Amino acid sequence: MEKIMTRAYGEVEVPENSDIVFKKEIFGFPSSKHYYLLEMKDLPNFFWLQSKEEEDLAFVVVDPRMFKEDYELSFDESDRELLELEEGDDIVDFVIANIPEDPADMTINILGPVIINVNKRLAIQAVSSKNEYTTRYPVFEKHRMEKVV
Amino acid sequence: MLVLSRKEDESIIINDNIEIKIVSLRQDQVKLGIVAPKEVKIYRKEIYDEIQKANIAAASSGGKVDKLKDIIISRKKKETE
Repeated sequence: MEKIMTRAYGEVEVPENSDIVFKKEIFGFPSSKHYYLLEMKDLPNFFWLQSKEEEDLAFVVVDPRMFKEDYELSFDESDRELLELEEGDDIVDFVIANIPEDPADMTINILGPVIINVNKRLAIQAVSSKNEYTTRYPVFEKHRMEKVV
Repeated sequence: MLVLSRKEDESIIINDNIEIKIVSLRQDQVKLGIVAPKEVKIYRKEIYDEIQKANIAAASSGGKVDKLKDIIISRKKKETE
């Protein structure tokens, strides 16, 4: 095990060499290439994508299908190459969540999914080819409407 | 930045296999036609800017994760009722 510094939990222990390498940066954050994926302690299916280089940089990521049942991941041949995907490799994909002051207004960025090649620990932030996808998909729309009615 | 002048219906070729053609010219808008191999990514720059903006906003959010837990629990309760 090794000790790392995190934004959410301070110092935590993770298995050695468990970081993920981003082959293509998270847009806007070119100086962070290595991240740890940490399960949130008390919120199932929510994860912290914690930068290795910058302690204060961390994103909340979730499986978009939790909030959008018909979500479709789309990525292309060049993404596949960056991820060095081969037969037998497993991928897992997330979207970055924006959790504002009032978490009922939480949105997820389904236009720029994070895709991880689990076997090789490589990741990218892709651009979805689904033109109708947005960077601010509201997850509690139903919830808010119920309140209004 | 390389700057080239082109007229309507004229093209430039990038890397031997990507053609960008000026399809039409109007006062304040240019229509471009692009012929490129399938693996070449072509997006309006706004898409990148938008994703970058969303990332930056997301990175400074997340302080209220605890409150989110309450919302999710109450929502699940509602669903099962």
